[in-house]
Amino acid sequence: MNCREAERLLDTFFDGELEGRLMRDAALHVTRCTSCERELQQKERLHDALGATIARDVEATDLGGLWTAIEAGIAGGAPSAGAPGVEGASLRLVGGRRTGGRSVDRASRPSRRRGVVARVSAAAGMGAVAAGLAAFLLFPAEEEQLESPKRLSGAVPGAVKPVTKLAGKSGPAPGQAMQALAQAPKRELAGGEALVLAPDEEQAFAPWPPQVQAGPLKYQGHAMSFWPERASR
Amino acid sequence: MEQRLVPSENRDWELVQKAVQGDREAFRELVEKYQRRVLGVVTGMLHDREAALEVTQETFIKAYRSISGFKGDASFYTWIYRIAVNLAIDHQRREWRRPMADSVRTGSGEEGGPAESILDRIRDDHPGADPFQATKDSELRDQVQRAIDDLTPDHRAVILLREVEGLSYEEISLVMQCSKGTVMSRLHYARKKLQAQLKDFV
Repeated sequence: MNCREAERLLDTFFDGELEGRLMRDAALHVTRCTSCERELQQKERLHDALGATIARDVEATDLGGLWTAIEAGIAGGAPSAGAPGVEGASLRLVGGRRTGGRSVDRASRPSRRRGVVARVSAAAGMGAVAAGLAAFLLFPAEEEQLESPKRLSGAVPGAVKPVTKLAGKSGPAPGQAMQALAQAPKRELAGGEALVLAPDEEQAFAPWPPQVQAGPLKYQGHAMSFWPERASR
Repeated sequence: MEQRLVPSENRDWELVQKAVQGDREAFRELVEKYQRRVLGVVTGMLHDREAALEVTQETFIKAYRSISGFKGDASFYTWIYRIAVNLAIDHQRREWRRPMADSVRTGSGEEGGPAESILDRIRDDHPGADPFQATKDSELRDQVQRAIDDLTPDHRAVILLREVEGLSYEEISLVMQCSKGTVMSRLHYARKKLQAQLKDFV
């Protein structure tokens, strides 16, 4: 047997499908011919590579829930959601039913898109949390202001709202605030008890809504304007 | 075609007869016996683990529904392979008809999707392994899978049934419903093409 004849038979020889005399002749040729021997070794390596590639994917697949899904499909009541007990959402019931040449399940196959939507929603949620945290860190005074009315207005709803003294922000001077407090009408709680506010409270209370005093603003007897340039025109 | 049944095939035939009577446990035994082998062929053909699971599941459901049509003139596994290969080819044709954007595959690691890096896969597959060897193995697997993908469905089915499942030419011809000569020709062509594509690796 020469190389040309052997080459036609190498696949069959490799697969063990040659019979009788042909098998013996091919085996003899391969032992003498380095080229055909190399060709056989290539087929062997290809066989190993194919086996390893497929085996890796198959071994990594969990088939624990396959029967459950098949049984549900056999029963005919195959829902489009994943079968219970099937982990990883990689297995879905198909039930063998088809519409328009496509299985029911594949026709409504949003799994990857659903994953994307879920990721976008999660990202939006994280963004909102981050924004809230940033607001807390940047404006802690506002946070304090939000917390105080909730605590105090619980005693007399709608009666007074606290004015917190904020650094660097305008507000009534302590004396003015106490004066306003003295003029504010007394509020009674249910049961005849009066709300008592100690004068040394850290927070001063003013009537709500705040009364704005109209008129010229004076400093050491001189009229003041916030915008002197505009006033002089 | 009349064939002599080996003992395991006798057992399969008993289970088939029970399944025809509606015995689900008997059918379950058949499923558990062949599910991994069916999955192997389908995974090789589709290169998509999720789709392979769907087709495997569909294969057994279809087998159960038409089991009364199985007359025992061939092995149960060649019969089930035939269903699986036909469903896998149908699935692939449907996928090819679908728009490109809709047919993005998850690749071998479904959790990570196509964006999953080689390093991630190496870490998952070979914890503590030599990174150079692991990278080489991973690259080889990618190349092999790409080369398989380039074959036509018929050539792919034949090479997988032979190389992965170890079916004889006779059994492959039963699964593919073609002559032994066609099986030999397809095998030869598929091997030549794979060897050419993987010449740097094998």
